[in-house]
Formats: sequence, C-alpha cells, structure tokens
Amino acid sequence: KGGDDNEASLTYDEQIVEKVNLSSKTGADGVERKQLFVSSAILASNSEYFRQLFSNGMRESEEKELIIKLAAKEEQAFIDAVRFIFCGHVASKSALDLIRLILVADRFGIPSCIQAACDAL
Amino acid sequence: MSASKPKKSFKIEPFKHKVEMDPDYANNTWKVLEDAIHEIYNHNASGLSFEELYRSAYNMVLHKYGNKLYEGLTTTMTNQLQKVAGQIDAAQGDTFLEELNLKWLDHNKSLQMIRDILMYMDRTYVTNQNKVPVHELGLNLWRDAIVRNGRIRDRLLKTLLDLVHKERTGEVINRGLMRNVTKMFVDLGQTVYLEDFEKPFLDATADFYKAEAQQFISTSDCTDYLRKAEKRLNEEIERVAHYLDQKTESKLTTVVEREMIGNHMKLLVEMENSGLVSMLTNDKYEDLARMYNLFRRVPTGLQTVRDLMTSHLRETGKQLVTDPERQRDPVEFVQRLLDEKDKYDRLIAQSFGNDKTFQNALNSSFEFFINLNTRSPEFISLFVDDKLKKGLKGVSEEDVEGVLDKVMMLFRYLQEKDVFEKYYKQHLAKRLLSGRTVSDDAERSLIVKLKTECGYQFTSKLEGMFTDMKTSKDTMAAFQQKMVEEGNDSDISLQVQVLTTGSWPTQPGAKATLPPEILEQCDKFKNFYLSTHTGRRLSWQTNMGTADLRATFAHSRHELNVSTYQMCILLLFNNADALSYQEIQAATEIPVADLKRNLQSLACVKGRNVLRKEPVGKDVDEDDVFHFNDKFTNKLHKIKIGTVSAQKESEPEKQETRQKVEEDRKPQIEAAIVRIMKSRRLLDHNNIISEVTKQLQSRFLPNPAVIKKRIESLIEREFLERDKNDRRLYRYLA
Repeated sequence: KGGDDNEASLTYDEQIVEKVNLSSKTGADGVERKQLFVSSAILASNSEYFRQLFSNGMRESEEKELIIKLAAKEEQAFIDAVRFIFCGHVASKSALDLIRLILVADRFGIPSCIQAACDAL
Repeated sequence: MSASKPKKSFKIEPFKHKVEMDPDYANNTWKVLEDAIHEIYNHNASGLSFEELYRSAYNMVLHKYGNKLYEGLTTTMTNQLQKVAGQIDAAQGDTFLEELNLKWLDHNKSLQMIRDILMYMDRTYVTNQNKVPVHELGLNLWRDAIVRNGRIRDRLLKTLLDLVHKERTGEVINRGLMRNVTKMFVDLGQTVYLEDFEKPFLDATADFYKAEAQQFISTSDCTDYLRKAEKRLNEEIERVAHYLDQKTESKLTTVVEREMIGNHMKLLVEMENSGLVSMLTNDKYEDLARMYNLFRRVPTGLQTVRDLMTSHLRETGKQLVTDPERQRDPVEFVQRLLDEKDKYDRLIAQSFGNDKTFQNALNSSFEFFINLNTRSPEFISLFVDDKLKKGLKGVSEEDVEGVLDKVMMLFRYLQEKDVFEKYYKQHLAKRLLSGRTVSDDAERSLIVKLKTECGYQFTSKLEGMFTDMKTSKDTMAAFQQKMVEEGNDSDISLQVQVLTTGSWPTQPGAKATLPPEILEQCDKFKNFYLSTHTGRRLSWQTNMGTADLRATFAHSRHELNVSTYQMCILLLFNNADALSYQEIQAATEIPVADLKRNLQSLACVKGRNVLRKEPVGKDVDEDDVFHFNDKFTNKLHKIKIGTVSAQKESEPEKQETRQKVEEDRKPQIEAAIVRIMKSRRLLDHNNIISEVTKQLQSRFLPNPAVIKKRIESLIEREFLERDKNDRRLYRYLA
C-alpha cells in the first residue's frame, strides 16, 4: 500500500510556489487516498499530460477534484515529480527512487524532470 | 496559501497490477479505448475519463501491446471515416460542401482528442517504430477515405471550381466555406493542395481567361481591354486573399497574365487607333502607365512595348529630321526636337516609372535620327545662336540654364561633335564681334558645359575668343587715351578687336582696300599696338567688322549701321554719283562673292536701298551700274543694313565647311593611330580601326576608309610598317 512517511517529506521552503497540502486517508475499500492541492497552471505548463487533462474536453476538464490512479511503487515517485515541478530540484536520493521518478516523469510527460533525474543518477 | 491560482486536488490511489497476468488484458483494454474513440466521434467525449484512457493506452504500450494499439486505431478510424464518407456522399446539392466541411471540423476535433489520449504511444512507440504519428495518420486516413474517395473526389473539385466560376461571372458565393475547404487541402499537405486542388484550379482559370481574352479582344479597344485585364488581375489577387493559399497568388497571376496579356501582346500594342502608338501620340499617360504595369508582369512584355516605342520614335523622328519643309527654319527644327524629347521624358517619368531601359531606348532613338540629317550640328548651333542673340531676353537665369541643358542633351546625341564645334565657333565669333550676345553669363555657362562634356581641348579656342575680346577692350581704352593725349582727335572713331590667329575662324582670302581716311587711323593703331607688343603681326580682317555712317539724302539724314565692306562701297559714293560694278571692285578689291552679296543688300532690299541699281533686278550682275539713291527715305533715323546671307549656310558653303572639317580630322586620326601603335607596337588592321573609332568617338565618328588612308600615309612617312609575313599586321617604328 502507500508509503508511510511522506507527510514529513512534503514540507516546502519555496515562497514563490504555494504550499502543497497532502492529506491521507484510507477508504473502506482498503485503497489509500492521498490528496494534493496544487496549482493546475503550473502543472500544465510543465507537463503535456496535465495540459491535456485540464483542457481537452473530457470529464476531467470540468472537475475540481481529479483522481489519478497509481501503482503503490509509483506513489512516492509521483509526489517527488510534483515536487520537482514546484521546487525545481530532485529530492529522491537512492538509485531505485530515481529510476522510479524517471518512469513516472516519462508517463506524465515531464521532460525537465527526466533530465534532472538522469543528471542526479 | 495563496488563492490566486486555480487549484485542483488529486487523489492518489494505489493501483494493483493484478491484471498483468490476464491473457485478455490487451483485448479488454483495447475494447475500452475503441469504445472511447467511437464515443469521441459521437460527440460524447465529455463523459469519458482522460485519466483512465491515457492510463490504458500507457499500460498497453508499457506491456508491449503498442502495435496492437496502433493497428486497432488505424482500423477503427478507417471504418469511422468510411461511414463519414457515406454521409458526405449522401448530401444533396449545395449541402454537399457544407456537410464535408462540418465532418472535417468534427474529424479534426476528434483527432485532437484521440491524439491526446494516445500521447504516450505517439511519444514512445511511434517514435521508436518509425510509424506515422497519430495526427498525421488521421489526416492521411481522411485524405484517402474522403478527399480521394472515388465518389467524392471529382464531385468536390467540380463543386469548388463551379463556385469560383460563379464568382467570376458575378455571383456571390460563401467565401467562408470556400476558405475552410481550401484550408483543409493545405492541412492535408502541400502535395494534396497542389495536386488535388491547385493544379486543376489553375487549368480551369487558364481556360476561363483564354475564352474571356478572346471575347474582349474582339469587342474592346486596347484601352478598354487593359482596363478589364487590370480589373481581373486585381480580382484574382483578392480571391487569393479571401480563400486560397498565399503561395497560389504568384501562380494564379501568372496564369491570368499569360492568358490576358502575354498571349496577346503584339495584337494589343499594335491595335489600330488605340494601341501604343495612338497612346503615345495622344499623351495618354494613364493608359500608358496601365500598359506598363501589366506588361512588366509577363516575360518580354516590356520589351514588346519598348521595341514598338523605339520603332515609332525612330520613324517619326526620321520624318521630322528629313522633312525638307522643316529644314527651312533651323530654330524651329531644333525646337521641334526639344519638344519631342520633352514629351517623351515626361511620358517615361509619368507612365513608365522612369524605367532606365526606356530612357536608354529614347536616347538611342534620338541619337539614331538626329544623325540622319548631316545638318543637325549646324542647326543646333544656329538654335543656340538664336537663343543667345535674342531668345533669352527677359528670361530668368534658371530658365536660361534649362534651355542650355536641353541643348547640351541634343549635343550629346551628335556623332559629329567636331562639326558642331566648327559652326559654333563661327556663330560665336559673329556674336562677339557684332556685340550681339545678350548674356555673357549664358555664353560662358555653355562653354563650361561643353568643357565638362568634351574636355579642355574642345573649348580652349572658344575660351581664347573670350579672352581676346577682353584684352581688346583694355587695348582700345589705352589707345584712345593716347590719341586724346596726342591731340590726335579724328572724326573717325576706330574700334579694333585684336584676335589671336587660330582661335578665330578666319577666311584667308578676305581682304579689301580700306578708304584712306580709315587706313590712316588703322596705321596709328598698328603703330601703337606694335610699340607695346613687339614681334607681332597685325593683319586686318575686314570681313568681320561693322561701321556706323552718317548719310545725307535729299529728304532726310540717317545713321547707317553697315558692315566694313559696305562702308568701303558707300564711301566711294562720296566722290561719285554712279559707279559700275567693275569700278567698285577695282577700288575696293572685295572678294567677288562678298561684293555681290553686299551690293545686293545695299541696292535690292526694300527700305534699305541706299543705292539704286541699273538695270533693276534681284541679283547683282557684273555689268550693273550703281547710283546713289538720293530719294531714299525711311521713318527710322537709325538703320541697320544687314548683309544678305542665308541664316544657314548655302550649299557651296556647306561643302566648304565639310571639307574643312575633313581636313581637321586628318591630324586627329593620325595622332590617334600613333598613340595607339606607340603603346601596342603590333596590331592588326581591324583592331586599329576599332580602337581609333573608340578614341575619337567623343568628337566624331571616323570613316574606316579615311582611317585606312591615314595608316597608308603614316607608312609612307615611316611611322609604321607592314609585317613582312602577315600583311594585315602593322608595326610601330620608333
């Protein structure tokens, strides 16, 4: 299931970006749900995926709360990718984390993140 | 937390890869996507989840089902578009194009969405496998299924061409729709636009304008035709702006230009009563400008216009300069040339945008026909003479310059500039000596212009003439003062101009016996002059002077302004009432031609006939007897008796001048040959001829035969020799 210490790692010190709030709860179905509050404009400008997600005219374009399904091992990497978008630096340390970060960045079309993660590797 | 940016929240749900082992995984996932594609085409996209579809496609690619995904997409879209093709084909009449446009817009929107959900495949699978990207694939499928569909293709083209034809024949069409459809062709790729639309469109355009040009040309005159062509051309340019690809403009105008102008150029410019010649004759600036602007668009268009203008100019110019009527009055003759030049200058400036090639054509035409008449140099000099004698009175300095500049322009066209110089010298001498030049500034200004044009050599003698006049003035002042000091006052006041030999045109044989009272004064001057200028020789040029006489007749007294010759004749009558021609000639020794001419002006011109001739007649014969005409009256006190002489030269004088010019050319040609041979040492005959011609071009056009004679003369005088082996080669002998 989901990671256990991600709350602590999501403390942002940058002032220009909004703080990203992360809350976590596990639903009745046993699937853990974590909630991120982020600026869609900043996401869209860094990721082709989010750009289309917000604007291409399908269901998500109209919704305020979007659900993205991830495999458990992708979760931390996804949060790291979002953090990269807002902070501009790669937080992951281990090689495995970095590889996961690259895979997630590839899936969501964030080329700058792939580049940064490869450099860190 | 700032609230300035729109916020969305995500829920991150762990996803279990339990389907990984499912053998139907790929089929099921594809099914989801395939259904979604259908939904998208059915305008139900807002119910679909982007996240889910993207994730499905992502997973298929990730699990190596990219190929299945791509193939499935191709098949699904092909089927979809075949259905669309059926719907478009079923549309009746006018709705056909609208339906096609509608479906095209639909397809674009759907394709955009499909591309978005398959973005991951586009980025990885398509790139790695070198497949056609989704968007392009969608366009290609549309192209093959719709635009090149056997049932749609021809119908579509015909509909479009019909609409254009309708608009060309004055109907209003839906330009927006046209624009969308042509834009579709462009979006499908340049080759589709070019092959499926532009080429047949241009062919139809050519057919249309071919027929229209045929019709116009048989019903309109040139002016009208060009107006229509211009209008059509502008319409087509507008058409491009409204609903065609910008790149089509040049091709389209080329077609219209070719059909409307290019194929009918000759016919148009040569149209009787309305073609180029008529426009030129009637100063139709606007029509000419239109013709210029249209013809410049087609290859050899301007050349056609220019050639006809040139031949017209040459023809009319030739008539002008060879018409014997025109040659009676040289001033009028030159004025006509200037007017003609002005007219064409204005025309080229206003209608032909000062096109250099047209200016050159104009210049070469003038050069051609001005030199057709060998008297042109003389006439131009006479024109200047007339202007400087009286024509410039009361004219501002700028206008004087204007006239002189125009004269210089004609001068430039002359091939025989040395002939002009000869005449100019004669006329200038007459003006200076008779004190009849109106403006010294104008005279000098023209000399400066000639100098800039032809160099110092050309004008040095002319300038010498001016210097002589000034020096003479000083000399005369000194002489008169000396006469007063010596108490040598006389009834006769003598004015002498000392002329440098060589600078002035002189007639060597011109001599006359001066009356003794004059001779006495002359001798006094001679002594005075030679006392300050030792070693010089003075000889009297009696043919150039003038004299003022007081004469008493029975009823009146007059002051007569006459030439020196006439004075000599008249003074004889102080001692005799009647003298025969022979007696006069013996006493004065004036050359026969001059004597006859002067007697004629004294006895045969009404109102000036201070002598009476027996027998009465127009011409002077050698047995005539002359009487003092006691009964002479005239209202004026001062009377000027001119010498009867044609303003322009008589035939024998012309021959004489010609001969002098030819003589003068000989040393110049020889000098040129020697200059060339000195530097080249060895040269063949043809090259010498061409080099000599080039060197002397600014003064005259030497005749090759004359050059050959000069070469032979130089060989005789051992400046040159012929090569022993090759007789065509000449060698310079130092």
